[in-house]
Amino acid sequence: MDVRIKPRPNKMIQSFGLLFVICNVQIGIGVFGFQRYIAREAGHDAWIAVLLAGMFCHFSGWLIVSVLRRYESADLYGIHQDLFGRWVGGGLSILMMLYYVIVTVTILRTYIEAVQSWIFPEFPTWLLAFVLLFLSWYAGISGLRVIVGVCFIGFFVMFAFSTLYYNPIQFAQWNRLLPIGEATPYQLFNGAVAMGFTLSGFEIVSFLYPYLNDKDKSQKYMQISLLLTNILYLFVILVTTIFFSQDQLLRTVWSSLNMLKIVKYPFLERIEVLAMGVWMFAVVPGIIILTWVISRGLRRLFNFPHKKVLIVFSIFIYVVTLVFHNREQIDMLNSLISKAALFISFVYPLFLYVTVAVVWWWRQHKPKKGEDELA
Amino acid sequence: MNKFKVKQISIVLMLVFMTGCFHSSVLERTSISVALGYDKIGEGKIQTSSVLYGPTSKEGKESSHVISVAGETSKGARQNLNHKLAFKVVSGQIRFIAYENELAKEGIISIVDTLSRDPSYGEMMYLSVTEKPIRDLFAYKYPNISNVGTYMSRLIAHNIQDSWVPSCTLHNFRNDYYSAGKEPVLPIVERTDKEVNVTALALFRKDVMIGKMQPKEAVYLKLLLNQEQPDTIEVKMPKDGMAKYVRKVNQPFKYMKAALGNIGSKSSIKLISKDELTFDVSIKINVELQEITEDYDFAEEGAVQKLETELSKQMSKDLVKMLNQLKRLNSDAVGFGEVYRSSVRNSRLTKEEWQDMFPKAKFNTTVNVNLIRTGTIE
Repeated sequence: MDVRIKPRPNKMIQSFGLLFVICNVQIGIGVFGFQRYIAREAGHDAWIAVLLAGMFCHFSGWLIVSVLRRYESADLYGIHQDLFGRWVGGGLSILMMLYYVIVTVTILRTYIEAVQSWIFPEFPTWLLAFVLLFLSWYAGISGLRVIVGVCFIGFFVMFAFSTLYYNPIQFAQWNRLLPIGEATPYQLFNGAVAMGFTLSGFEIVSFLYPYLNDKDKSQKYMQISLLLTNILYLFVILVTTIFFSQDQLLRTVWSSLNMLKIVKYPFLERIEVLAMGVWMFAVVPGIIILTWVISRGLRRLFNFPHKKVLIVFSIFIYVVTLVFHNREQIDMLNSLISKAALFISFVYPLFLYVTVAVVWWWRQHKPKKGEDELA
Repeated sequence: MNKFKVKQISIVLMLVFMTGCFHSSVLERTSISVALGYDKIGEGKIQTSSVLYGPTSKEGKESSHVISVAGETSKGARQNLNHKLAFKVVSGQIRFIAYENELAKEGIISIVDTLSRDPSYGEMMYLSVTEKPIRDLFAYKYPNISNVGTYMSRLIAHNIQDSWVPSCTLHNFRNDYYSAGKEPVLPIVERTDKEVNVTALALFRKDVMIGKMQPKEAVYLKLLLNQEQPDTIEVKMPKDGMAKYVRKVNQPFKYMKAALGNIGSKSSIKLISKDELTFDVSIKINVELQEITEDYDFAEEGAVQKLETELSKQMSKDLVKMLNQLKRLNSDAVGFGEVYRSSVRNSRLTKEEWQDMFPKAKFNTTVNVNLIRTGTIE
């Protein structure tokens, strides 16, 4: 496997596309109910925790892109091999892919669970999972450009729907935000940690990077897309805090949907049902990207053909998804994966940055050893 | 066209045509429930009454019918409704829920939470309390009301919009119940002969109804809640210094009454001292005079100012009366606890703590009436 890859120009995308991809991977099903996990830790100061987590996010994003820039045109699989050699690096890459498989299952199963509890209680899991995975496979085989296009739709759906939160503001009690900063730094930090899984996903830029046309703008668009996500989350958590009373929020599983329950138009009384359905546009791109990342990995490591591999493990994900039956298991899956997400999105980039810095420094000072590897 | 494409297209077409195959609710084959009522019958038994849409008559008049069933839980009773109906009950159109006060005095949060747990109910249904069995209110054949369920929800909606009834949706109730420093209030509805009316407010401590508040006081409660403002306020004040501005006295009087149109009001509550628990409660209100019981001479100098100060004085007194009633019942319907929580750092207020504190609270009230105009005549 080559460390660096040179994709054909007709497969490459503009850095601008990162905006849609990153936002879509970050904002998926999590935005429906992340609020109570943060409020549980930080109370009415949850928004400060979100802000804090957002700043971590920017920092982590900066680290990732900086590492990628050093390598000019490598993805994380390549970097793994370069830093840790074929076997250890490959092992890390496989762990990474395994993580993305579980994330995909989590997203899929959580969305299906939400659909089942809100709209169709008897809707069979296998059918919806099939439909969603079929969609993601269909987009996935068409290549990265199509994927970015799908993300573009998702991006607009998300930001269009967030304007609906104008309505809950009318029920706001602003003094719920006061007194500002009552939570201790420890609580705020815990809140920010709880935000980890919701914000994670932006690290997939390290797989997209070789495909970017204008790599010098990558840092800029990376930061802009993180900023957009953070603004959206901040907005949602602020509206949630002023809309719900604290104990009420802690009891609400899908607070974002609950807030839409009060939106009412003469021709459309229950907009949350619509939101639930349309949100598929925001969930599917996430699944598409993650499956693309995994199939890229299998191609890079084992030289499996992309299209065939995509369908094989789409079926694999499908089967794993059907294993989970009730809310308890899904919650367990979520809390398990949230810890891993925290590590992969925030700790690992830092580790990687330091390792790359050390290894490159080593190679410069001992040119003989690293030369043939770099060449 | 190759084989692969044919497969693809057929799968996509399959998805399109399969969309209608999931269970559907045909309007004519559902029993649409528009209102629910819960009565207590005996120990641990709940009777659920439901108003359903009936067939529309040839003249286009809507009709309704009412059925009641008993059950151990509210949800169980609702399931039993199906025993009496030809079609499945659907609850998406329920806009009005009533609890008999016997039930409300024992606590209703479990029934309220049940409603919120089920996503098929809306969050904007109005809750209220009745003093007599609800079955009696629902089942009565009103000569002028074709469907009592939808009528009730419109009645309440309009009173929230224009009058002294505070917003009483499911969301409001749960919101207040689960907040540390505020208690819910619900309107009390009653059938009097051939009409239904909103008679008073039910005050709660947690989810238990503990008292009533009359409309006269409820106006002030609503002014403090910063919601939709009541349209008119009636004030009855002693004549005192105003006597000299009255032109013609038909019969000797002690009190003057004025009806004020509310143009816009603002209220603010501030915590002055956290140790003595003193709150500054002030209302600024712009009004236009709609009616005054005596022949008052507005043209004379100082007459308008005098009326303003007298109105302010009297309204301030009435406001105190309302606040004292809340204190006596220990039901913080205004949300002073929330003001306390939000202005005292690290208070970590809980509902229990606030219940011990609230009766000790003191209030400084000021009402500032600004008489904008006296209608089209002086």
